[in-house]
Amino acid sequence: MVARSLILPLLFLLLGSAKAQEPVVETDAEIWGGLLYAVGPDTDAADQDSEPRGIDVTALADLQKRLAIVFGDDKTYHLVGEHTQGLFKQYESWLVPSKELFLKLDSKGPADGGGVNLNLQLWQEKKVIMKTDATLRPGSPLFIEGPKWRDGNLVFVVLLPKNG
Amino acid sequence: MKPSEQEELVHRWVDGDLDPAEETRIEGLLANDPHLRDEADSLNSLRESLRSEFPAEQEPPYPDFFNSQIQRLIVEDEQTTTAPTQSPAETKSAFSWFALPWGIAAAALAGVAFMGLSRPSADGTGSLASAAAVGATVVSTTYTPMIGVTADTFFSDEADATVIRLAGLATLPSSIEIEGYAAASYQPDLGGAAQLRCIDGEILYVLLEDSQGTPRFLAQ
Repeated sequence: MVARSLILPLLFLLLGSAKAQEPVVETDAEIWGGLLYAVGPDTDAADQDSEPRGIDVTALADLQKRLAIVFGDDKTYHLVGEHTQGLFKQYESWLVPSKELFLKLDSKGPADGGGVNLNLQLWQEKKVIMKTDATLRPGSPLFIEGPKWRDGNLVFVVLLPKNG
Repeated sequence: MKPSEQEELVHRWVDGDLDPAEETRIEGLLANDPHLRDEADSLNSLRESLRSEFPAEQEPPYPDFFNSQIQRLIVEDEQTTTAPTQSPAETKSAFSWFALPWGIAAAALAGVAFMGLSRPSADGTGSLASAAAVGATVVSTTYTPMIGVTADTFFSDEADATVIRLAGLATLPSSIEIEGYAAASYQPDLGGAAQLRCIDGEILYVLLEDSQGTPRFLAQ
């Protein structure tokens, strides 16, 4: 019992000390992933709203405008979570704005003409619900419409920022 | 003339790549061999239809990715096919059709269909070819492993965004609370774990993968 209770603190201690010593792993790009909740304006979803931290407010507003064009302007697109993550050259990367819906990314290297080739796996908890090969271009978002939840549905946005 | 030499001559004739002496020879062969004549006509017909679909010179939108996929398929085919004993010349000619310009165009046509570049979406917005044309994000292949789940991929010209709509996903229970984060970029750790932190520096959780690659989130 005592031993078990020490496992997690020891794990964090080891990770912390290892982190201080390990070299920085090279990346091909930095990717922004956002999980948004698309819901009708009459629904109170204020508790699902987050202020953007990884992209600026203007960029988020632009994405929300584009989402409205695709999925309907009768909805509001609340930012639930976001994650800005380096796309490792050698290893897979996780893009986790939320534990309910997240992405595993595997870089295939820089793309001709700018951007990055990669494989994306969309996970819903412990299941892979989609795999895709894509070329992300700077400033050109990828919208993935996810499952329904309560009065709306979740949308995952993947963006290679123009300066990334 | 061996059959493989005839075949090569026909292919070069279709491409307009014969000298006068060879032209005379092939015309004689075609006149005396109806089967060879039919094959030549069929190749000519395919060449013409491909030429009408594709410009004379146009690289696929993502040549490196496309070529790497073709090369991978060739290697896989060579590894899995049990080749009968052949002379080097015959072995070469077995793949020579592929190396010819119309052979590459035929593969390009298959590749376009495979990549879904020519398919517009059901709602009438742009095809993925539009995305490639304007330098937008492109999705080349999509696979949904769960039964009953399908993906519709298209480019929205108006939104200037590439979209994947997933249909058939189970609705998430209303009872669950979806907790979002403002997570910062992490570095992979030596043990294969990833310590995810909030942008503020607070540790959110440790992400570990089990032996099957399924992620587990360990809260602090």
